[in-house]
Amino acid sequence: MSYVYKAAALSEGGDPLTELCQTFDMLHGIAKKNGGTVETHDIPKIILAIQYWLKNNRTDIPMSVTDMSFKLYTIPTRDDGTLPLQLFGRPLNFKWFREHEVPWLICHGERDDLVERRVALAPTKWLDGFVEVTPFPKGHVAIATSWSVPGSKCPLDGEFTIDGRTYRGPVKFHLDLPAHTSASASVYGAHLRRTKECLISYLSRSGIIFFKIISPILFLNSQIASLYNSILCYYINSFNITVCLHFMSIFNELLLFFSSIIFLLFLPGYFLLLAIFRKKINQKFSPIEIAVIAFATSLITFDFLFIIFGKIGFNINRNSILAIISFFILACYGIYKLKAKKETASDTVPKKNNSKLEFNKIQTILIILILFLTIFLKTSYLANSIFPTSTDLGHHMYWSKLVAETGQLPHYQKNEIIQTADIYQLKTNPIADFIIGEHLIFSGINLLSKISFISYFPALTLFLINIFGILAMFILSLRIFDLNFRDNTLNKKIFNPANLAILTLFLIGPFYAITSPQAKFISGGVIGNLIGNLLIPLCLYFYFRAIKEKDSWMLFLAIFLSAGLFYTHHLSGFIFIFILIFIILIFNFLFILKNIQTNTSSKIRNILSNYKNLAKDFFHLFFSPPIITLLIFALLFLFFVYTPSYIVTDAKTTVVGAPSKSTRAGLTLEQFKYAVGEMRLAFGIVGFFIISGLIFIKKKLSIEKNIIYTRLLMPSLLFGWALALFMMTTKPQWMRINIPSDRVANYANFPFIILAATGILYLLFILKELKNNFIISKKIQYFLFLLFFSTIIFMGYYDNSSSLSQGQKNQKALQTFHASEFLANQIKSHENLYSANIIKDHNYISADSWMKLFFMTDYNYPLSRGYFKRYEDITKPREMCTLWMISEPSSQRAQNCFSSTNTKYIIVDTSVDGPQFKASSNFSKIYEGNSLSIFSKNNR
Amino acid sequence: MFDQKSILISLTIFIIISFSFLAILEKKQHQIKDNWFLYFENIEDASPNFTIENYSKTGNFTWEIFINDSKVKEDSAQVLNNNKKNVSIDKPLGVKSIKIVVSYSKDKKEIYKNLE
Repeated sequence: MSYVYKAAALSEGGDPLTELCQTFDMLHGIAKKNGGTVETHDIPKIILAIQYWLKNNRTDIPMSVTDMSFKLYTIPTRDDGTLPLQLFGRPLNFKWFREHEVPWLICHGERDDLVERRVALAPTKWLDGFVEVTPFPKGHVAIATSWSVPGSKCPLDGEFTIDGRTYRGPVKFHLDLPAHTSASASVYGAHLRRTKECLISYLSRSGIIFFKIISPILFLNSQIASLYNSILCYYINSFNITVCLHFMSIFNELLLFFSSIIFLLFLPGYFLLLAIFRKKINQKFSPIEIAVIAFATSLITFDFLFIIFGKIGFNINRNSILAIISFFILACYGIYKLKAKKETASDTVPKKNNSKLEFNKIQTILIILILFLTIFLKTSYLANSIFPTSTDLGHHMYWSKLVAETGQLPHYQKNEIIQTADIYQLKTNPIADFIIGEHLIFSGINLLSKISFISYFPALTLFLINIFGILAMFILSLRIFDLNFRDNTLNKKIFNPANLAILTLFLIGPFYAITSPQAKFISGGVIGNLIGNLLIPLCLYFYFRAIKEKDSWMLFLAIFLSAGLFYTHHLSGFIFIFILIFIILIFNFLFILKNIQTNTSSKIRNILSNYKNLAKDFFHLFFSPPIITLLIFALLFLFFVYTPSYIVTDAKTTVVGAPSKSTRAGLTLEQFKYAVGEMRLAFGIVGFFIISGLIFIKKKLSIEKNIIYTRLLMPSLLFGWALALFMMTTKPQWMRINIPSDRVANYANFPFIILAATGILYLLFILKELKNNFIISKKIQYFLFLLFFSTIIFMGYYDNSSSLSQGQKNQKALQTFHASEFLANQIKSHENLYSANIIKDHNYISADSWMKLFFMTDYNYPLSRGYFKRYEDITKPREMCTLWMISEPSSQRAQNCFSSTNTKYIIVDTSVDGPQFKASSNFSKIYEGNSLSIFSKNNR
Repeated sequence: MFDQKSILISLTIFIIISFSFLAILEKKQHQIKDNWFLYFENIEDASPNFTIENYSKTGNFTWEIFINDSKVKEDSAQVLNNNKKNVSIDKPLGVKSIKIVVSYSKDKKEIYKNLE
C-alpha cells in the first residue's frame, strides 16, 4: 500500500527532488528568523519527529488492516451507504450513525492532498444535516502539528471562526458530549457479545465484586467501577467508546441498585430469622417463605434501626448505613451461632421440612409461568410509565431526598398560606399524611447506590414490593389451607394447599395486573398502600401460624410486622385493626356454633370448657418472654423514641366519624363488584359457601367434645377479612369511618382472591367428579374447563387492557425538570433571592410535584395552584392566593398575595397561563421552553 | 426443596431482566428531543445577555434585540444539537425594557425584562 501512495504522491509533487527543495525552503525560512543561522534546536520538534518517523519508524501494518485499507481505497461505497467491508461479520453502513444517533464530527484539511476534501466528506452524502464538519486550514498533517499546539488559531480543544462560521475542534467535540449519549445501549451490547474474551473477563471481575458486596464491609465504589470500564473499553473500537461508557454506566448503576436491594432488603431479615429460629429455620419455613419474610422483615428492621439511630443523633449517610446494618447482621449471626452451640446432639431437628409445602413438576412449572406472566404484564405497563412523573411519588421522594441530604429524620411540616381576613401569611404547619416508613428505604437505596431520586429506582423498588406482596398472598394461602385440606376432605389431587395457592397466585398475579392496587399503584407512587398490601397478608400469616403452632416467636414476628405497618401507612394500619376485630368476632361466632353443633348434653358447660382451654393456650402464647419484651419495647419506642406523625397531629379525628362527603359514604354493590372484580366476587361467594359447608357439614367433627379451634382459624381469617372490608366499603357510616370508600375498596381484593381460588377449584372438582361418574364425557369436561377458564381470562385481561396507559410523558416532564433546574441554579447564585418564593401550576404542568426536589427548601416550595375544583369545595375551605396569583396576577388581591408571600417567580404553561402575565408590565418573562415559561415579578 | 429453589431462581432472573429493561428504557427517556430553550443569563440584573439551549437539529437561530421597544440588533448563530450558545450584548444605558426574540425554523420564542 505504501508503494501505491508513493506512486500517487509522485504525480502531485511528491518526487524526491521536489521534497528536497521543500526541505531547503523550510530551513531557509528558519534561518531568516534566526539571523541567518540554523541550529538543531531551532527546528521545531514536531517536524523532526515526523521526519524521523517517516524514515525510521514506519512498519508494515497487519494484512487484514491492509486489506481493509485497500478495499476502502479501491471499492466505492454503495448507493445505499454500505461500505465495501464488514466488521465482526456484519456489514457497515453510514446511515447507522443517524439511526442510532451517534454523534460524529469529521475534521479534514482544506488543502489536504492525501485525503481530499470530497473523499473526507463522502459520508455527508448519507448523513447531511446530521454529521458535523470542521475544516482545518492547511494540509493533511496540520491538525497534528500546527493546530494541536494549545492556543493556536484553530485549537483542537476549542472553537474557531472561518468566514463567519464557528467550528469545533475534535477535543472540544468530545468534551461537549453530554454524560449520556443517545446511542442505543442494546446496539452496543450486540458488539459486546462478540468480544468474548473481554465479556468473560468482565463477568469474572463482576462476580468477584458481587461477592465482595455481600460482605458488608467492602462495597463497590466509583473507582473500581471506572477501572473495569477502562479495562473493557480497551478491547473495544475507539469510535464506540462513548457508547461503551454509556452502557457500562447503566450496568454499574444497576449492579449498585441490586446490591443495595440485597443488602438492605434481604440480609437483615434473613439473619433475624436465623437468630430467632436457628437450625429450625428450614423446618419452619420453605425457601419461598424465607425469601418473602426476609424481604418484609428487612424493610421494617431497616426503618426501626434508622429511627433509633437517627433519634440518638447519628447522621444518616452511606457509612452509617453500612455500619449499622453490618452490625445488626453480625449481631444476629452471633446469636445464631451462640444458640446453635447450646443445642445438644440429642435435639431432634428433622432433616426435612414436614409442612408438606412441596410442589410437583407440573405445579412448579405452573408457578414459574404465572410469575413470568405477572412480571411480563406489569413490565409492559411500566415501560410507558417508568419515567418519574407521578404526583404522589414526587411528593414522597422529596422527604426521602431530604433525609438523604440532611442525614436527619424528617419533620413532616410545610409552609402554608394562611388567610386571616385580608391578610395572608406563610405559616409552618405539621403534615399528618406522611409516615416515616414510606421514605427511609428510598433514602437508604439512594445513599448506597448514589442513583438519583429522579430516575427509575423508586418505581422499581415499588415494583419489587408489589411482587413480594403477591408472594405474601401465595404463602398465606399455602399455610391457611394446609390444615383443613390435609385429611382428604375432598379430592386430594385437586383440593390441596399447593393447588389452592397456585390458583391464588393466578388470580392475583396476571389478572387485574395493572389496575389499582397493582401496577397503577407502582407508577402512581402509592407507597404506603403497596407496603400495606405486603404487610397485611404477612401479619395475618404470622398470627395464623402463631396460634396454630402455639409458637410465640411467630407471634413475635406478627407483632413486629404489625408495628411496622403502623409506622408505614396509617390507612393500612387502621384497616388492619378492623380486619383483626372482625376476625376475632367471626372466630368466636364459629366457635360457639361448633360447640352448639356437638352432641353433648350441656352445651353451655361445653362452650365454657372449650373457652377455658382456648384461653389457656392464648395466655401461654401472649404472656411468653419474647412477647412481653417486645410489647414493652414497642411502648417505649412509641412514647419516648418516635411517635408517628398522624398520632401527633391527631389525624384520627379526621378518619373517625360520620362520612363528610359523598365519596366517603360507601360504594354501592355494583361499584363494589367492579372494585373487587366481577369474577373474583362471584367465585369468592362460591368459595365462601364451600368453606362454610366444610366446617359445618362434616359429621366426624360434630361428635367431638373438644373443638379443635385451630380448624376454625382459616374460615375466621378469610370470612372476617372479607366481611370487614365489605362493611367498611359499603357501609362506612355503620362503623363511623370517614375515609374515601374507593381507597378502602382497594383492600377488598385480597380476601376475595383467596375465596375465589377455593370456589374455582371446587368447580373444577365438580367437573372431575361428573366425568368420573360418567355423567359427562371427557371431551365435554375439557370443553367446559376451557370455557370456564376463557371466561376468567377474558374478564381478568379485559380489565388489564382498559387500564393501559396512554404513552410516554417524559418529554413534558423533562421540560419541567429543565425549568426547575434553571431557576434553582439562578436562585442559588443570588444570595438576595434565597427568601424569594415561587409558585407553579398543578393543572397544566407535567411532573410538577417533582419540582421541589430541585430546590429542597420546603415541601410546599414552590407554592402550587391546585386543582380548580378544590377551591370550590365548601366542605374544605382553603386559601385563594395560589389561585389568584396565577389566574389573575394583575388584580389587587393577587398583588397583595405576591407581596405577603414574597412570591417572585411564576412557572406556568405558556399557552394557557402566559397571556395574563404578558398583558401586565409588572412581570418579566425570563425563560421560555416549548411549553413552559417562567415569569418574574418586578420589584415595584 | 429443589422445586422451590428453581422457582426462586426463575423469579430472580425475571426480576433482573425486567428491572434492567425498565432501567435502560428510563435512561433513554432522559434525553430532551425536539426542544430548545431561551433564557436570560442573569435573571436579577438589567443585563440583556441570554442563552439559547438547543436539543433539536443543529441549525441557525436568528435573534433580535429590542431595547425600549426599538430593535437595536439582529444576528444569527448556529447552535449545535445538545449545545448552548451564550450571546453577550453590551448593557445599554437608560434601559426601561429589554426584549429578545429568537426564531428557529417556524418556531419563535421571546423573553423580556420590564425594568421600570
